[in-house]
Amino acid sequence: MEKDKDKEIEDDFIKNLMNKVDLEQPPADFTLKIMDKIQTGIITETVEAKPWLSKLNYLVFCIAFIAIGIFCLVFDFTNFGFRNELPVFNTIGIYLNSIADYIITGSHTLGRAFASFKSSPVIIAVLFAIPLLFGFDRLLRKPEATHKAFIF
Amino acid sequence: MKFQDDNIYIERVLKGEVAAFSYLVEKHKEMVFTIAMKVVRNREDAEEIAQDAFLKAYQALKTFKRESKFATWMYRIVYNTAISKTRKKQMELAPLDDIIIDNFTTDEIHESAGRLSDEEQSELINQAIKQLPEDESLLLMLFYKKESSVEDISQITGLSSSNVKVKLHRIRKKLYTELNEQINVKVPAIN
Repeated sequence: MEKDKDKEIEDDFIKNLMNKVDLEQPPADFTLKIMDKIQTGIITETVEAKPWLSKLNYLVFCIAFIAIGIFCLVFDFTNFGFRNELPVFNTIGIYLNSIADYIITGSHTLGRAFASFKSSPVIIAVLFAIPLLFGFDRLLRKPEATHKAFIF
Repeated sequence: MKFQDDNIYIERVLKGEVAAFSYLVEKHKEMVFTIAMKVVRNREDAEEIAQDAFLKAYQALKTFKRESKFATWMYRIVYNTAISKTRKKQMELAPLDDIIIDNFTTDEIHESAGRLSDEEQSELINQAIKQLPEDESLLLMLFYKKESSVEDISQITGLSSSNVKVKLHRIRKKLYTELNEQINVKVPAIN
């Protein structure tokens, strides 16, 4: 009983003294720095945008786009046959002409629409520029970059 | 600055009022920073750890189940962050010589301390605490300064409740020893 009372007095004594102990003081701008980091995190989260094309879809799109572009360049829509006058496409054209004869059967309207589509540096540049632009877009929207603020 | 209950700020933050979190930071920053300081013993590292701990708490606020006090939860986060930073260094207390306390009576200490002014008492306790290892003074701070219960301290540090009790008992004795030494230096000078 006496021992318990002594213990209580000891405890009160230390408690009383401990009230006089100062805690460590963080820097004055401590709260501000944390709130800045939180706000930055929120803004980063808000602007976060996922690429609307997945890597696979992007590859399929690029291959399809370039293939259609090349097809339009080598195919003569007026005569419904592959052009033979371009040296690059000459061999391919001759080879594909026989296949096209079987596949394309009618609709000369489509042919008129692409009649003026000729191989030129501008068209080739555009043909490759469009998939490249999509690729650039993917790089800019890389999701990892937007999460950095809150990776610990 | 007078603060409201932590749960009020937590509710406001969860409803989207981000700025309300600053009240929680203001309210707990000193103890959070103190815990970090006690573990890493370096102001720059302690500041970084304390900031990280608050950011983690902000991110995990939705998962805070309120089974414990916010302060306990927050202190556990900063303690774990600090421990991780110091490569999982565990709190270990050197065995204390319990006989030391028998060299003087607690009444003598109380009486001598009573002769000192508030300022001198403050200096006395601060000096005595400085003599204690950082992990021991952390337990004292949590128990006496923040009035955390043994269970809270157990949750924060990961020590068992009985271990916390034993450690506190030993630290208390050790503190008395330090206080006695400090008083012996001070009181004769006053008389």
